[in-house]
Amino acid sequence: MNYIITYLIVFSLFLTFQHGAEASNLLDSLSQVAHEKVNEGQLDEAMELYLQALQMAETEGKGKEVASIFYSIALIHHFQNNNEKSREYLEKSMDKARAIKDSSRIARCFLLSGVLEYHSGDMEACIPLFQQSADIFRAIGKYASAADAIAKVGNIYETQGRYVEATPLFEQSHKAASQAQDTLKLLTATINLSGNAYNLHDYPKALEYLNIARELAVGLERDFEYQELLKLESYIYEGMGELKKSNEILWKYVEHHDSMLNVDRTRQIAALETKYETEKKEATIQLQKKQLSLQHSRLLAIAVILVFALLAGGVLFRLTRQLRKRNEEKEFLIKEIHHRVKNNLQVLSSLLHLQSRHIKDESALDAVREGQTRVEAMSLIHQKLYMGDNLAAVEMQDYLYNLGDTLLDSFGMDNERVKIIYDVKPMHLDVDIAIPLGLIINELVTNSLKYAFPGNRNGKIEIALWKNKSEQLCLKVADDGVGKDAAHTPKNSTSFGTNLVNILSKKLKGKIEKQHENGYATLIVFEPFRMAG
Amino acid sequence: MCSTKILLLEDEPVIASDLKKVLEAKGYQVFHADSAAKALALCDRHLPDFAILNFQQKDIGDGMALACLLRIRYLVKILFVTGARSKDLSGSPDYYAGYEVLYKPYTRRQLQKALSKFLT
Repeated sequence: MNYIITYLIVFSLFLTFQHGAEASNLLDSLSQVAHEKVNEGQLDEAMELYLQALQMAETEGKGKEVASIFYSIALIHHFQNNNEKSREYLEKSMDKARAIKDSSRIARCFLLSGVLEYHSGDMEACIPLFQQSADIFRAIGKYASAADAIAKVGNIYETQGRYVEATPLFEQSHKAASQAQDTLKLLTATINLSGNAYNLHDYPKALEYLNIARELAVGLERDFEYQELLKLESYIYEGMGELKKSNEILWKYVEHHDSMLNVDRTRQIAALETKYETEKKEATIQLQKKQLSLQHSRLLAIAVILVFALLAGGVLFRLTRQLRKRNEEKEFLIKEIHHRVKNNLQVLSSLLHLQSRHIKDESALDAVREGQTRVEAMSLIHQKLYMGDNLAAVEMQDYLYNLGDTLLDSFGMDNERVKIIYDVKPMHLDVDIAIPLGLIINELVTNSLKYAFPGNRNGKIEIALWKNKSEQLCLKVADDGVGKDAAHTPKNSTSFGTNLVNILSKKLKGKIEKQHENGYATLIVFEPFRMAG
Repeated sequence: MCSTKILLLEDEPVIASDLKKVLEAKGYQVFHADSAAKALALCDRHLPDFAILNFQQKDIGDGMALACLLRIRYLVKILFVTGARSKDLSGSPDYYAGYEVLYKPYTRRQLQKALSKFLT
């Protein structure tokens, strides 16, 4: 991935610079990226980039860059422990640097050559290389680099036990460092001097350098150097025979060492732990929060549902029980009332019959009999009464058949002489409508039976009940009898019957039409009203 | 007296007298009772052939128990007169099964029909 990204960067850089821009910028960029790669330890990628840059630098004839890139490649080979290759490139760099008289590059090359020799174990070979490098650095005023190079020679002598020979070198390094005004290098040089003095058993001098070095270390806040100085001090006192002081300082060193370690480690561990714990805790907290809120909402939902269900169940149960109870009560009451109405009607009917037994006057008897038929018309309604959803309704077809038969019977007519023809559409009517309607029909049929067929005349009566297109209830009672004019009608009795029809029709908002062709016919059209059932 | 005897149980005097008149006009001997106890006493004394029972007497409620007793003990044929229809009553779908029934309020024609069917 990194590889690809690097190439993308390089490619984009290439694109940016290929037109008009100076190629040296691209070269610089390439070298820069490669250098960064070296620092990141990605040596292979760095090598690729350097080779690319090298090609570019060579074609453009940039000697200084070529030498620099050769040097860098040599360095990478050295890092990869490929010293042969490293030497090869180093020579190339050296040649190029000499050709363009790049002293700095030459000095660097000498230094790296020295390092290579040092690593291959050839101390005698590396010392002159370092010295040459140092001389050149000093000549071109790069004192810091010079100090490093000389110190390296000193260190070699030190490891070889050639302390006396090392002394002037460390002094030169110290001088170069102070010339470079580089405090850190000065500190290193002073420590070297102190160590060397100790090695030469020149303890006072060693202590002198040590104190200077300590001040520098404190000023620079260099803990590591400070610690090393403590160790050195302890050795110095040991050498001086001051074992107690040496021990004290050694303890100090150990304490410092431990504390540094501890501080470091503790700090690192603590930081890590804190980070880890925090992340873990946060994750856990988040998870718990989620779970909790989920559980919470789930619990809440369940609780709410349960409460609702319980409430609803309770309310429903109570309601249904109440409703059932109320319904039962209502039904019982209605039955009771119906029973009483029926009984009362029966009493009425029986009364009229009882009364009629004592009446001798014909017209009075007629009147009572009419009363009887009227009560019977109502009685029949109550027999046919059936309970709809909330209305007491009567099935009209069945009712009218019964009414007709009853009337025929009460007038002592059989079906042979006068026939009633029914044209009744099946329908259920509310009892409030059925009773007046029944009474109207009772009157009309009674009239026909009484007056239309005198002297054993045969005939028929038509009872028709239907609904017209505008939902109006229509009633027609017609006979094919002698007609109104021919009928022998005693005034008092018909006037009451007709009156009754008028009154009841008015109650039902009916319009009466009378027809006198072919007997006698009455047509009543009622206003639309509610139908039962 | 060898005419047919009819027990009439009816606590409503108007209805009872009307019925009695109708029946007597037909030549029957009628014994009227306005309570179940009286009815039983009359049965003991006169051993009627028929009984016309008001189904819902105040003192006996449902007349079915009395009807059963009369039928078994005195071998009386029963006609119920009732203001309640079969489906209004508790129990089997047809509560009056096996009995003749005349529903109140009856018309003269219905009464005659029922009686002619019953008194044979």
